[in-house]
Amino acid sequence: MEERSKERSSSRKNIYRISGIVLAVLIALLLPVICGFLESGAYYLNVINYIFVYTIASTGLNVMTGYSGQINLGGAAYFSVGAYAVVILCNAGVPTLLSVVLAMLVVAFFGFLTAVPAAKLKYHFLALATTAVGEVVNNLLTVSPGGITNDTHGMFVKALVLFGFKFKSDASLYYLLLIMTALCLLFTWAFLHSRTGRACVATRDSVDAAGSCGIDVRQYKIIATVVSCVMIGFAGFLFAYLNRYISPDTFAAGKSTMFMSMMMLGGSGTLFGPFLGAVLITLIMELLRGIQGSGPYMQLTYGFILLIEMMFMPQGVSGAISDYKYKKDRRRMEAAGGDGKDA
Amino acid sequence: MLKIDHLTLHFEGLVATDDICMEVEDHKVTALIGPNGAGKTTIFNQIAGVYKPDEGKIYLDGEDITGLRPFEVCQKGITRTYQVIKLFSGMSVIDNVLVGMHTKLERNFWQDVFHSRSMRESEKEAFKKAHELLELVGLDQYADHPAGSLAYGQQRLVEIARALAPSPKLVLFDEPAAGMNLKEKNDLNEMIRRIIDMGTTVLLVEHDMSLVMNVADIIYVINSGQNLAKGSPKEISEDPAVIEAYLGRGEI
Repeated sequence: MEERSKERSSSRKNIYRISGIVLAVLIALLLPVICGFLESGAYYLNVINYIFVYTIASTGLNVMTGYSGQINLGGAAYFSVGAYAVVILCNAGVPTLLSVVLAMLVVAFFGFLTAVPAAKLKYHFLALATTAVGEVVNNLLTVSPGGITNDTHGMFVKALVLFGFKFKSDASLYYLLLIMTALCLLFTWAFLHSRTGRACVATRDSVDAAGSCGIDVRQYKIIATVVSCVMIGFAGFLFAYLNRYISPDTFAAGKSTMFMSMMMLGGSGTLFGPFLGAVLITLIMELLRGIQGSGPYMQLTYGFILLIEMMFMPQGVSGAISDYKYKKDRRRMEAAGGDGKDA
Repeated sequence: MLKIDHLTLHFEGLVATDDICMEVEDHKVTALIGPNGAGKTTIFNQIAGVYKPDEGKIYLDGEDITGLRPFEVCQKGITRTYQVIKLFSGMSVIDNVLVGMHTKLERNFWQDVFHSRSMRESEKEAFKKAHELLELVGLDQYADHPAGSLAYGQQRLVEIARALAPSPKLVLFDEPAAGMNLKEKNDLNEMIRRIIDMGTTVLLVEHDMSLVMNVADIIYVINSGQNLAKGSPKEISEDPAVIEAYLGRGEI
């Protein structure tokens, strides 16, 4: 009897889950159409597009910091290298797809260069080193060798053309970014459920134990960093074609902090945490922007929210939810007199 | 299986292990005992590659493994547990065991990350084996729980399952019974026997004498970093030198 009712409740749960997913996918697909009917729909769609880009960037950061335990306060550096590399290559006449691939190789190489020494650093030393990387790259963009980045003037970016299709409207970019974000999350999931990904997470939780499991800790720290950098760089490329203008100012240290805050607020070390964080922080910023005379208080409110979050939900929204779920699960198992095997 | 030859290690003038010799035989449980600070864990750490001995050699099946790094020692077929638990506490219990299998899984990065068919197959087998190991230690119902959420005694068992995951030649248990209740100790006793049956040799450091006397085939006693005695549990329990080391010299 109990078995059957359990079965029924689990199948009902499955139905809920499936219908939830179907609904989410439908909404996601129809969103541009819905926005078309709203008064400031174009603005909403634009904000959503930025949320997608920031989701990819903070997901990338999450691979390095949330999952592999290496802090990175220079995320904007990889973001900007990805953006500038694609734009410069495209401007030089390289086909778009090829420039994206080449640019990602550039980001990977740059990530590798910083990862090799960084893999030896811990805690605040790593925080300092990554901050320095961020600053150095930003300065290089401002006073670039040969002026290839057009220095402080920045660069205007032509609309993205892929397979003969021009991604000019917010709606077309929306679908592109939706697919890219889904692919990035899927990739992150696949990465984490592989031998390589698990080894990266293991080095976060215990360097010693990871070593005794046959994991070359340094090697996996480098892998996590490179994968992370490529994802952040990829987000940078998408950002360039969404923003249509890039300059050193767009990639200032504030962006690094923003990616970090998104990851922390949503829940570092969780798959959907960065997405949640990107949604929350972008919305908070946009809402605050709308309030008259909020300028001076915007950063303050932002900081205050983060402070509260760190105090009461150190694992972020997503972490707090899964924590609650497991606690409930354990209580249920113990209440069932289940073999708690009390120590 | 394992041969330790005149192992010596100094820490800034302090002699941690002094000319230690011992041999671990295949398919037997060898126990290493001694008073606190005798250097038992230091010997473990030298076998596992955490410390590099100043002098002496360690051989695994005749192969010199002295001074290898910890992950290389694991690749040679030696795994371990820790005196102070070191789990991957943010990962699920089963993921902990799967990390233990690291050296046995698909090695090609791209096949692994993009879940190729061969990767999925090896992963399927790995999950099956991980569940078997969790059943062995009696934790299968917690497979999906974060390892850090388990009770202390259970966490020790996860460590044991993780150490057994790559089917090592030799497993080093550093005080496995610490923090366990009587029932868990009895289970552990049985478990160690089953580990031997699975074809893994066991070397353990343990303070719980009843467990050692029950489970060990050969006991090495060390004191102040030096070999003191070697023998069967019965011989050791009657050895006057051992009794003196444990109970102190009678001075009247």
